[in-house]
Amino acid sequence: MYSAGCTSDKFMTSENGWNIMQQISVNVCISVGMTLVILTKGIDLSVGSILAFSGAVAAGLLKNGIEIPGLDLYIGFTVFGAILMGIIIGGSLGFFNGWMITKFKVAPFVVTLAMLTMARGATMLWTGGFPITGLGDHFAFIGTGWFLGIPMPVWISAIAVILAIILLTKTKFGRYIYAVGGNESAARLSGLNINKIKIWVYALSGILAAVGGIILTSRLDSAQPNAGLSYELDSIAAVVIGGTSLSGGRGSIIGTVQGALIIGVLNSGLVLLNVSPFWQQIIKGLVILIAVILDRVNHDNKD
Amino acid sequence: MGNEVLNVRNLSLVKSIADNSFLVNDVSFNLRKGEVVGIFGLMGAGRTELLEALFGLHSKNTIGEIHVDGKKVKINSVMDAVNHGLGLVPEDRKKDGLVLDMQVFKNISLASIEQTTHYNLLNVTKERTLADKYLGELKIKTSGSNQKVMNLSGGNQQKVVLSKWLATSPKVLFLDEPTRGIDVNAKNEIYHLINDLALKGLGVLVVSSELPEIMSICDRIIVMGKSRITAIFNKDEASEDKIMNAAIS
Repeated sequence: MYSAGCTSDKFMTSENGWNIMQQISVNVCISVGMTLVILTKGIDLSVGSILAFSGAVAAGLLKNGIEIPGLDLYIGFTVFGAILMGIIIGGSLGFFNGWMITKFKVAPFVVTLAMLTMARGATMLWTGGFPITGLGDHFAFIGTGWFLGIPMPVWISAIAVILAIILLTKTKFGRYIYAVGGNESAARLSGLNINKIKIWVYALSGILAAVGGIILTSRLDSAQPNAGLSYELDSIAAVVIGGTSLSGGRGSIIGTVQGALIIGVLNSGLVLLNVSPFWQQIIKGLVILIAVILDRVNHDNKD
Repeated sequence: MGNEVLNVRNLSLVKSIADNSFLVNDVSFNLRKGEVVGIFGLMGAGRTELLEALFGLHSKNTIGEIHVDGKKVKINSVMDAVNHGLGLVPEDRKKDGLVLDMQVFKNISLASIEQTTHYNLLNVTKERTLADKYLGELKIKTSGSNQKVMNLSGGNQQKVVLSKWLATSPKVLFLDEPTRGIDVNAKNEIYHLINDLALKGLGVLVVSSELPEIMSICDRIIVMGKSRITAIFNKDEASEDKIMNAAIS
C-alpha cells in the first residue's frame, strides 16, 4: 500500500478512495453473507451466480416486465418492485441451498457448487446470453448516485455490515451461529435447531449476493450474463484474510471488511502501478497465504 | 406414585427392521423425585443408546411411551426433550458437551438463552451474572466467566456442562459417565453435587461402568445386558457379584 502511494500520484486521491470503496462494496455485501456461512463451518460457492441471476431478474423485470401470452396479461415493475423480486430470488436460491444441505445432509461445497452451475444456466436462459441494458436513471442511482457526500453502494454495503455485526454480536441467532460452527454436536445436544439456523444463514447469503447483484447491475447500467464470475473466490479470500476460520466458530464481520479492503486496495493499487494482471493474481494468492499463516500463528500462541 | 418424575414404558430403539434387532429392547423403569438411579452394563449393553433415545436423538427409530411428571410426552427432538425438563451430560464432553472455543458464560447459557434475552436480543450482563452464580455454587475454578472453556481442567469443564443444564431448571438429568477422565478430587465434588441435586428434588439417571461409583451414589441400580434390562436392585440388596451376574446374563 505504501509503495503504491509513493509511486502513483493517482492512488492517494479521494477520488480513487471512493472508487475503491465503490468497487469493493459488491464484494463486501457478498462477503458479509459468506462470513455467516463460513462461521457455521459451511461454504457458499454459488454467490457469484446468484448475484448474476438476481441482477438479471431485476433488470429484466424492470425493462420488459412479464408478459403472459395466453392471458393477454402484462405486468410491469417499478424500480422498487424489480429490486424486491431480485432479492426474493436470491434469498430463495440461498434457502434452497440451506434446505438441501440440512435435509439431505449433502456437503455445502457440493450443494453450492451445483447451485453455481444452475444459477448461471438460469441467468443465460433469462438473458438469452445477451446483456440487458438501458435501465433508467432511477435504477442507476443505486449504483452510481451519491447521498450526503457518500456513494450509494458504500451506504448499502455499510448498512449490510452494521446489520450483520448487530446480528452476530447482539442477537440469539448470532450466538447460535458461533455455537453451531464451534461444535455442531454440542449445539444440537443443547437443544438448538441446527437445520433452521443453517437454512437461514444460506438464505441470508443469497439475499446479500442479490443485493450485490443489484448494485453491480445498476453501476454498469446493464445485467451481464457472465456477471459475478469467480466472485466467490474474492469473497472467500476476504473472509479468510479477515481472520475467520474455515473450520467454523471463529471470526468477525469487521475482519471480513478489512479483508475486502485489502483485496480492493491490492487490485486497485496493482493496476495503478501497472503490474501485469498475471502477477496480480500471484500476489493476491500470496497475501491470502500470509494472512492465513499469521492467523494460525496468532491463534496457536493464544491457546 | 405422585412423586414419579420420569416413567419409561416399553421403550425400544430399533437398530434394523430387516433382522428385527434392537439397540434398546423393551425397556421399562421409573425415576422418582430426589432419586439417583444408576444404569450399569458392559460395553454395548445399550446404556448410552437408552439415554440418547430418551433425549430424542433417534426419534424415528424409537418406540414406546415416556411420561414426565405424570404426563405422557412426545420427544421427537432434543428441543422437545429440553422443553420437557430433561438434560443430558454426554459421555464425551469435548466432542458433544462444550463449545471449547467459546467463553464459559456462553457455554453455560447455551441451552437456556431465552431466560436472558429480550426480543431475541442478548443481555450479556445478565448472562454473566447467571454464569457467576454457577461458578460459585459448583466451585468452578477459572479466572472468570470470560475465560474460554478450552483452558479449563477436565473436572471444571464437566462442571460447566452441568451448569448449562442446571440453568435450564431441569426435572431430570441424564449423566453419561460423569466422572470419566476427571481427577479424584473433582470426582468427589461431582458425587456431592449429584447428591445435592437429588436433595433439591431432581431425578438423576447415571450411566457408569465403574461399579464402586454406581454402588456408592445410586439409590437403585438398573442393570442392562444385550439391550435389555436384566435386573433392578435397591441399594441395600445390591452387591458386586449380583450386578456382574446380571450384566453378563
